[in-house]
Amino acid sequence: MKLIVVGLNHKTAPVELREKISLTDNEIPAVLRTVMSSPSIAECIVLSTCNRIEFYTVCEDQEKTVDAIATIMARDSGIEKDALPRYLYVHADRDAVTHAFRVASSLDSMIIGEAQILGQIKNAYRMASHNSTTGPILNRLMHRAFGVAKKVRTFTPIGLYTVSVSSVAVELAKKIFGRLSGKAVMLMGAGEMAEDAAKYLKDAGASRLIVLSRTFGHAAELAERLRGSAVEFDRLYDQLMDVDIVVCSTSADHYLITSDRMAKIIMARQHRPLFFIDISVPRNIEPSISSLESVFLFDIDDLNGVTSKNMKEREKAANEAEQFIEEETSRFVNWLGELSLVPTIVSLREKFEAIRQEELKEAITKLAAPTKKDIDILDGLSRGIVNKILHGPITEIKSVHRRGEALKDITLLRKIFRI
Amino acid sequence: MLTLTVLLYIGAMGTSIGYAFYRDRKLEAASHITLIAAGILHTGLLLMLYRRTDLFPVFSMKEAAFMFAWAIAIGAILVSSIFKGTTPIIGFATPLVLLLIAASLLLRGSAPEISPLFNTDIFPVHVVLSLTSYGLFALSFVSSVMYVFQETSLKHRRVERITQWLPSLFILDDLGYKTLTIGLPLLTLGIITGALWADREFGSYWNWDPKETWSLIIWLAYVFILHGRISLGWRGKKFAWGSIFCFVLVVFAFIGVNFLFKGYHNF
Repeated sequence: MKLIVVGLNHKTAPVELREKISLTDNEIPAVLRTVMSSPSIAECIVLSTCNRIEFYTVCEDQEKTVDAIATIMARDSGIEKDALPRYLYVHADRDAVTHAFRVASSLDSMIIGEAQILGQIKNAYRMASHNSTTGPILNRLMHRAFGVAKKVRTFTPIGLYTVSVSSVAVELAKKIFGRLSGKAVMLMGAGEMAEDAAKYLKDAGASRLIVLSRTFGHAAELAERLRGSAVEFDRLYDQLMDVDIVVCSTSADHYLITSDRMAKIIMARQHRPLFFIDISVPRNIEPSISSLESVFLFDIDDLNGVTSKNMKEREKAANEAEQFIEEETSRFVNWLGELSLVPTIVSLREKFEAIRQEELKEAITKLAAPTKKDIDILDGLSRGIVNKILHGPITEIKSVHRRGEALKDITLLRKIFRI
Repeated sequence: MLTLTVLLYIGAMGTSIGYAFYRDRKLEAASHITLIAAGILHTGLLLMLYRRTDLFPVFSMKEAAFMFAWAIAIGAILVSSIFKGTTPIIGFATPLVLLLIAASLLLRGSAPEISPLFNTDIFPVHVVLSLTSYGLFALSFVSSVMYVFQETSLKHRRVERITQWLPSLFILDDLGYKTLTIGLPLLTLGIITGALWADREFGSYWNWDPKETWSLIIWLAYVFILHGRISLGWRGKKFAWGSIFCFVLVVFAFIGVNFLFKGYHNF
């Protein structure tokens, strides 16, 4: 039995290819069934996210498995099967275990430390186990992977540092307002990044979203999409009385919000704090407003500065995490090895038991009038001999295994006893 | 036991400051637990003093400083347990606690003769109320300092370091305010009980003793900033500086007045 991972990710395959191969949750059960129909494969999990498509399998034959999986990928995506191998990676046994742990702990992610991947793996595992395509090995692998991911998150600061502009905006908003519930966000303009930031703020609990755009149609459309309300652009300063967070990303070439007018507004607001994020280039909010009391202004460079600094911190944390993964991998591989020992021990016992039964029967027929007591004595005697003989080899093979030199010895053992 | 208490306070301070630099959750938890342990020992010490003399241990500057420190510590424990993410307050509050304990140790050992004047029921109530209100003012001061710290870092956009560690402006502002809304009524009651006691002992409610005068000044100062906040919207930085300034007055009233003026207050 081998543990094999076959897949491709953002490092090995371009997005155009990943798009074609990626699977939706609805397609996965059928794919799982196809994989399992290959006689070599005993267990299987399919993980498909926007950055990776991976098949975790337990199988007899590595080559056949890789081939079967490539066939499935090619069939569903319309890509030539021969073109696939250079995008694929294949990890076996120890490497496969390490890989699974690294993926679950988000060390293999495009943005190291992002938290979504764990949920995605859990989902993949749930689907596989609903379709009964997991067995003892993958079950244990997944549970260990979840454990490792949790440990990495708890004991290293990997998730502490926010690395996307939007999440930095949310962090900052939280540092000003505490909780975001009850807060109103105003989105000016319709850049992708601003839209993303507004969405993040809303997901983080902001209750109200107002969209302003030069063209009211744009604003209305965006408001509809983000479930906010659109407002005419010339009511900008009225709105500034009520909102708490302003995300600005228009294509204007001058300041839309000036220090002078803001000063009056902040008085009227009774110093309720106001948080500006200006991600437009050139900037649309006069920088000097940040000297006003209760006004906090951050521009794109501030936010980018934070994200790149934090990215470095995450990489440092990732190095720490690799150590946990190393340890856990060894532990898992040990278990896997012991699992492979089980069949040898079982067949050894079976062989000896068969011999014993045979000889016992023969001995009994040779006795003139065996009583129940005689038979019991013979039975006990033979059983005792067999157990004592087997005790040595079985203990030895287990301890040899723990030292990691098992394979050769198992082969020898099987040869000696002809099993 | 006193040494151990002090060591625990130092430990809580160290781990809390360590948390600021390394942002390790274990340090945060450690500072919280050490502070609680220190608080328990501190309470034990006060109880022991009480049992030894059968009197509230509040008859000298030495004892009052010790109790003041206790009030701050207990307040910090309550705040950091109740409000999520406020453990960094420990790093700011423990230095005050330690300073007060140090002051208490440096002051002359033997308590002055306890004049029968003080040995009445109402006197300990007056002292405990006043000291608890001081403790709350101290916490308001601490949150205000943290507020100014956090506000400055946000203004100067030094986001990468400090924002992760300090609580949000909202919580700090709220904390600075709430502690005052409890502290001020307590001070009011402290002054009233003091007046009642003075009436019983001296026959008049108010004697313009320096301490009395200064208490009144403090009281007016706090009323002033609370009023400003409620009716004029002085929140945030203005309020924080107000609270910091008022606490400087408190410290002066607590210690300075005794050295500069002569009054019948032992502390």
